[in-house]
Amino acid sequence: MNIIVLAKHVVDTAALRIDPKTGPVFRGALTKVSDYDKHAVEEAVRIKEKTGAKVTILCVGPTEAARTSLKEAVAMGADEAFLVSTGSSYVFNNMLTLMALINSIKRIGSYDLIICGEVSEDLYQAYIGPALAVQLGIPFIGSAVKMEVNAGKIRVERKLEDVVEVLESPLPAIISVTREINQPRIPTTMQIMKVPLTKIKTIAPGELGLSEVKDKEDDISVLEKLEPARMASRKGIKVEGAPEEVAEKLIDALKKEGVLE
Amino acid sequence: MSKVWVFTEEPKAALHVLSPAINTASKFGEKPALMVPSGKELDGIADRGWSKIIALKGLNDGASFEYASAVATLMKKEEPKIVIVPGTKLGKEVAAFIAALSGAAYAPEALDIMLDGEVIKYARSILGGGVIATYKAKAPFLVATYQLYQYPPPEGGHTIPEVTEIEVSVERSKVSRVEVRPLEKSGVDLRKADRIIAVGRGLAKREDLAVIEELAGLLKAEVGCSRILTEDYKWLPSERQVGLTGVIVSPRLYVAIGISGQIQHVIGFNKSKIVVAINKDKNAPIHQYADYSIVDDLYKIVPALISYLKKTSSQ
Repeated sequence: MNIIVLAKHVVDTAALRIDPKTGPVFRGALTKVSDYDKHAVEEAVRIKEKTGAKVTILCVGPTEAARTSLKEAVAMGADEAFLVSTGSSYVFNNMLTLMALINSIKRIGSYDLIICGEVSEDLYQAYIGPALAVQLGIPFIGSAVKMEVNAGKIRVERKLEDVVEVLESPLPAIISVTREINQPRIPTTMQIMKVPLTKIKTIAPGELGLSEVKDKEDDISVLEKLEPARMASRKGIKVEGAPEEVAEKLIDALKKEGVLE
Repeated sequence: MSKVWVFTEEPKAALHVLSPAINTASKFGEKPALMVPSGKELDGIADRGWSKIIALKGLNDGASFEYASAVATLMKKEEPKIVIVPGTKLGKEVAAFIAALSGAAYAPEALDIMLDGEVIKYARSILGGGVIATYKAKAPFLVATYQLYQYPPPEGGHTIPEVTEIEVSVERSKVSRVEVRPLEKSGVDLRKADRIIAVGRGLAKREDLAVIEELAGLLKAEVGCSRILTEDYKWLPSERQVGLTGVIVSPRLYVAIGISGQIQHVIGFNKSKIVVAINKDKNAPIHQYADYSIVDDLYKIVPALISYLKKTSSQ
């Protein structure tokens, strides 16, 4: 059984500096494997441990991902990784990523299962899974909380607003996973260091027959601007003193605001 | 047919996007059209000012791909400019499929849809919520979803258009549903809460949730939390998680206790009327987003609040 895991290398949004005038500052920003995708890697490695599958990680992203995110994913137990390098760019549109994924999946060859995170932490679209399934002509099931592979089929459990659904699909299929599905193992720094770079192959988009990387434009849409989100303006009143005093002042203030009753 | 469509598998969810749908359709001088799978109850939905209601026949219940295939087929024929899908969990999957099948530009969880002459633009929140990205569609049409509970629906009472049943040829889904059972959940919907006491990383251990719950009880508030308590510690169920990856809330009072104030969380409570922050770290970003800010240990302030509230309520 061959499993492909789509793992995205993203800017760590929790640590991203956002300039109030110009927006996000990518230079020197911390990066990581998108959290959701770690659960996808973990799920693939668990299937491998049970059935002896081969796990290939696939990423479209900046060159540095090969040394960081992809080494980490391989250290978790994957067999190899492919990076379609976009140079130093983070891609904000979908079509290049989608075409790069399709062409590299063709190059990887046969596959039974593709697993990805239900969203990526940076763009939060939940688009690539369903779109890739449409392009490859295979089924897609999103937001898995449980999955089981058996005799050429996959059974997936997922939660909608009010119900739990159990769905079944023939393989090959694409499944996206939630963070609830498992607890990803954390490889040690030593394990990550020991991953030989020969297990990680970097491919230029040109090798896949794709044109130059435009990080903000494709045939479907153009990213026009990135601006800092504006939050509601707040009063910024400091409530100070001994705890008892603070409690009294705060409750009085909230009563005056009319938000307690 | 109208240039703006709403598709939903769950007619009640259409109310969540009614306001933006009417607003967007008015830019074309029209009213939006509603599309639903046939056989759904439309009471309280049909009279909301739709130009037309289409019931799609012959689709397997819950088959997101078939819903999308039907809508994409109709799009080819009727050429709408914008298709809006309420962001239920299934709706988001349907919308992504529609976009992929039709070659439309895609605006998941859109903040805004703008028209610049013939050109469609859309804004959405990315990079954890701290950044707004504005895109211009190069494709001639757009598929968008909106998060639920963002826009109160305008009143009904409009003339109910005739419901047209249409059977569209669709690509059948290879996914079959083998079981459906009710989801057991705590039953809380923070999006409807008037007051929320939210707790984060500052809480030292699970047992201490009892104190937070006691305070919430005294303030007639619901307990919410930041992502770490649900996804990492698993101390609280996911429906209590406030933020970009949880629920977006708009209570009158939001009290953030031991929460650092990462942007992903702040986005979740930004619409609250009054925000209180309790965090002993004076540099924690949460203090910037608060109306009332207390720089002190939650283990001192929360008990003081509880005893003050008990004392004043017994008087």
